[in-house]
Amino acid sequence: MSQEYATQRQSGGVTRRRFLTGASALASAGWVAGSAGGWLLRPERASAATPIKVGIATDITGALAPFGNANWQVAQFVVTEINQQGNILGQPIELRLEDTASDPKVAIGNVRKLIQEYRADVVLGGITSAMRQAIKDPIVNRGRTLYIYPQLYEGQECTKHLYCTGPTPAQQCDELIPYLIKKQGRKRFAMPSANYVWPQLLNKYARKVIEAHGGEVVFEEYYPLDQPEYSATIAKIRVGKVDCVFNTIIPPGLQPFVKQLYESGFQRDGGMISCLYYDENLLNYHPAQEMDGLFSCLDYFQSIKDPFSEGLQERYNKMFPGTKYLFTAGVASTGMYRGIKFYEAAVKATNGDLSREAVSAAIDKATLASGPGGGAQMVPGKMHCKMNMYVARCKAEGNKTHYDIIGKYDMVDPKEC
Amino acid sequence: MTEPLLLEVCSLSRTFGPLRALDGVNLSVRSGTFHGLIGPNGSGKSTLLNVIAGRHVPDTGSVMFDKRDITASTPYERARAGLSVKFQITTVIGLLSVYDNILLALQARQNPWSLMRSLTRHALHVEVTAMLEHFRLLHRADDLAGELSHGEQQWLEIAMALASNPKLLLLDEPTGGMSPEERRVTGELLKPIKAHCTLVIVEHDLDFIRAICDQLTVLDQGRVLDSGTVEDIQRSAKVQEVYTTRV
Amino acid sequence: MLNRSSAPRFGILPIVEAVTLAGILLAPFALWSRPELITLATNVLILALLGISFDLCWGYSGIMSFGQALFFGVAGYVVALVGRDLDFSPISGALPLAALSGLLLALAFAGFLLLGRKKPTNIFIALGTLTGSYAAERLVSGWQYVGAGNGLSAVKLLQIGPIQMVEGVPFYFLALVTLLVCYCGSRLLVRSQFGLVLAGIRQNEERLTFLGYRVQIYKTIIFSLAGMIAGIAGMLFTYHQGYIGPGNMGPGLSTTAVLYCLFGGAGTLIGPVLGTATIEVVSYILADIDRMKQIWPIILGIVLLAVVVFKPTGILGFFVSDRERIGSYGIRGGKQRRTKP
Repeated sequence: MSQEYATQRQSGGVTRRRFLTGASALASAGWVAGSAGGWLLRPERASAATPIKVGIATDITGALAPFGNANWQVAQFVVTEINQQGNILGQPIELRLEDTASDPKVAIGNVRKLIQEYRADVVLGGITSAMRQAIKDPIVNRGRTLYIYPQLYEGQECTKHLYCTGPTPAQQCDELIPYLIKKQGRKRFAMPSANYVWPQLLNKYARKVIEAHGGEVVFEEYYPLDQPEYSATIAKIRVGKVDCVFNTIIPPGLQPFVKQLYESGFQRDGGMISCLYYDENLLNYHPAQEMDGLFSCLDYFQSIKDPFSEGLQERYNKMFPGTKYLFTAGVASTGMYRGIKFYEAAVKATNGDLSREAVSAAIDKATLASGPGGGAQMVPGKMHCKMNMYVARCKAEGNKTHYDIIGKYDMVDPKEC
Repeated sequence: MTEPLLLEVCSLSRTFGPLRALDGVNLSVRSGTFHGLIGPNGSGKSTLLNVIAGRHVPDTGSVMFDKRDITASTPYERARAGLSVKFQITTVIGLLSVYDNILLALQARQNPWSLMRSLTRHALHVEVTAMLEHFRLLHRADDLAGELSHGEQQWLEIAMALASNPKLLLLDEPTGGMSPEERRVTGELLKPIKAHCTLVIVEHDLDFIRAICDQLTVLDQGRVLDSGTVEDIQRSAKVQEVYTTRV
Repeated sequence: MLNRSSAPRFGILPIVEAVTLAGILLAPFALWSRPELITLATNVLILALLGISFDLCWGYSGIMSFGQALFFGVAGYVVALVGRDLDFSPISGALPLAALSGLLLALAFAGFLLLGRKKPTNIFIALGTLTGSYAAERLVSGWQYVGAGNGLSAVKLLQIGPIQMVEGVPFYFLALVTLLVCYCGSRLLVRSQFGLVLAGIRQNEERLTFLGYRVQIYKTIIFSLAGMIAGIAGMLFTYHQGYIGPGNMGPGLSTTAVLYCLFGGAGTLIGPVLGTATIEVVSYILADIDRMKQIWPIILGIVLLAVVVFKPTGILGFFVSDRERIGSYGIRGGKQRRTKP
């Protein structure tokens, strides 16, 4: 490890200690410090060609750190594999990370560094919609750079040169909600929500689907992101005889809400929760039993048994043994995988032309034959992609969670733009 | 008496906690006179001056100045009405030069907008210089006011108080800490203002009082003991008793 | 008895100002190849305006305002909102709008804090401004129309004629010109006869009321002008960053403005500029070092404490005498007054 740092200091850059988590894995995979703080594969593997600069802007610190760190590790994993398999047309990929710190105010300054200092060819990142909205202007507008947003969200992002590789409300709600109403007999829904754009727009869409299938929204409420106290909400749930909580509260308010709901006996009395970003990574936020019985609908779960996905998990876990940041869908890892692979496919299609217009045109038509949970297809002109969707239910086993797949839906249309 | 009453204080009372500083004090000052306030320590002279100046509001009684009731007026309103004051503790602006102190006093009548544009900086230079000269401070013009000797600071304060061309000047112990020569000069500085300014002066130095005042009021323990011309007071038995029995 | 005059032989401040001006003019040429440093430099110039705004309040008038970020933030939100809702962002409109927002809001505050019957104490003003800043931050955090906790991003670009301003050398020069104009205007003001009144106010407010000055009016005027400058800074910041949020309005930024000013040297106008530059540049350098990132705010707090306790006159206090800082107000600095005709 100290040799690693010696190399870094000699290269003249400021020591990037935040790389500590991935440094050992990268070192063993052959990475060294590159230009301006980026990471590059060691010279004997790399060609003399100038590297393709990929900027990752995600939340390494702050309330969403588990999400961001998972994203960053997946990015390293995917890029390492691409580089080991011969780079993109001989050009190695170089990665640079900037921490958006779960705070748009800080994020803008840091993202600017990716554009102005690092001159990234593409930026992937942003987790919450608020973050995406804050950083998309410096990247797409002022920075004239391609931007790929990997996380599930509320839809309606139709900005040119901004591609979304995570699930949309249509992909998440169109199968899950009818299932809850018809097969699980849920009729009375509560929508406790964080006060920002994702829950607001998602709830609008979900409400339509709920009501179209004969369900009822008992209440829809918005709380500050850091609210710690939910007894009033839980009382409303009880009094309103809510049988399904459609949760869009996010960290840091998430932990107290789920805990207080669980302790009030809601699940014990037969209530069900569904939350669209819940996956195996959420163990970073709660003990397993608080998630028992929860429904989610994502593009991938670890319990999916197809050879490609299993191989992917195995190799990821080998690169990051014992890590608490798992390769899961709710934290945008699958979106990050898809985003980088789409970029790779696009650059191959343009024959190495890295200009934004060329790559953007190529991504617009790109297809991935395989990926976690299945392949993906960009819908031309729509900035979003089709992917397989799975409805699943969480089962707590000791202090681990396991998602039982209930339904699989092939190549669901995002229905955006 | 044909000169009009400039200042009329009626039944003024002021207590500070258990202490009755002023108890039913009356005072009449005619325009164009120099009126002295004397009395033993603690008799309420400074308190009376402070109330007239506007530092304290009296509990009962009234203060009429130039036919206007100023009992509850703010210091600003009193200054605008033509009342100027020099307090016992010197309050020159120590970190400004002597010149700037006088300038500050002279420009007080202007509105902020004209001050922002420094319209009178040149015009006032003449007046400042004249005033500095008159008060024997010209050679100290660029020195900080805080660097002046005690006597010079008193003169500066008197100058500042006179800068606004007041109708009534209140002085609280202007010769405190001065040498005899300085006292003489102070008297010389004050005498000429009689033409356009009335003076009420609190003093301990009876010679000084005798030299410049026409009228005297003697206070004792918050009450008026006696009032009249200097000769009257000098002959007053009541006053003599107080001055011999009290320190 | 005769004391030697402490009148200075020459002024340090003009030298400091000249050197700083040269540095600011040359910076974009030196940093031509490093756009991220030009962005940093532009931010420094914009935030220096905020520091100056505080200096006018405290350094020159004795008003301890912990709320300058309020005017900064409100102006920023105003321009972001007119950009979003009215598609409006030409500088000919945005600049007056921001200046007016800062001015009127500060005037309203002054009316409430300063113009009551009783003379307000320093503590009252400090708490009042702090509360205002905090209350505004919480208000916008919960108000969806202005973006709630996430603020407003994707701000419509500032337009000067046909040009759309993004970060870079042109914006740097815009910030520079704005800073110069505000600086020179403030400098003229504090050296005028009006400035003499301010000098009197911060040393002995009571004396001035007895001289016939309505002190609270003067404080209101300077507070409103300071609010206007803070508003202009907020506008430039929002257009430059492309973002404005509750954090840019609250006690955090207000206190940072205090720090910029006190650290550099209050009551000098150039002090806040130097203080801002120092603190922001060091912040930038340290931001890349993770461990420092956590403790940097603590260090800043300790620095502020140390300055207040040990060296209230700031860095410039080591070079500039009190006398020079307070200045003189007669014609042409007045050495020639000594000679009798």
